[in-house]
Amino acid sequence: MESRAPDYLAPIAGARAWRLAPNLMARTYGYLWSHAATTFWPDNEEMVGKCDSGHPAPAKGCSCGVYAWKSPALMHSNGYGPADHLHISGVVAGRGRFIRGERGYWVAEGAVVLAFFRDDYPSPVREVLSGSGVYLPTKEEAARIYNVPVIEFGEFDSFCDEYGLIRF
Amino acid sequence: MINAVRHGKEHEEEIAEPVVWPPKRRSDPAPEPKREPAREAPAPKRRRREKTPA
Repeated sequence: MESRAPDYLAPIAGARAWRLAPNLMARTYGYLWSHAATTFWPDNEEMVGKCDSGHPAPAKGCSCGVYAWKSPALMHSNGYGPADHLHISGVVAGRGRFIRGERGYWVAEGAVVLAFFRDDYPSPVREVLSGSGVYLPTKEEAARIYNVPVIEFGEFDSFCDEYGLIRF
Repeated sequence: MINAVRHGKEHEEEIAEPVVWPPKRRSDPAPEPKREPAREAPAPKRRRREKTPA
């Protein structure tokens, strides 16, 4: 593949939401899942995009890669913000080759979680199915596992600046 | 799932190659530079004993 000079020497800033995995599944697949539960983010590690077609992710005309919105405002306005306690959202930093989409998202080669957002949907400690012994992890537990802070949506810009992330 | 919105005009591919990865908070103290072990002072040159005439 042709190598070229980087456009940025810093990570790019993003916001995205995940579905929280039930605790038993989380031990195997990680705490953060994509909304459709088809992609699992490895706990405390970089999420690296892969494509079943065999080409490096991301690629134009293909849906592979790691996605995030440019800001929490765009995440909400596009209807991807958490709307219940089953979901959690946060700040991610992306790296590598990336493509910006028209609607305010980017899709990159890799990303890491840097913080979670405090939202209006606190996690109740409740069994997924009564008597199953399976619980959803709380948002506080996810923050503990990832060892990242919980911040307000309005702190996104200053948080990204503190980490030297490129904001679009 | 965000994948569903992957349509419409897309920008050209760009590259972000962070110097620091994963990102660190700017206020975090930078790692201390490795200190080289102190070198021993070179031994003083031995002075040749000058022969004195008898």
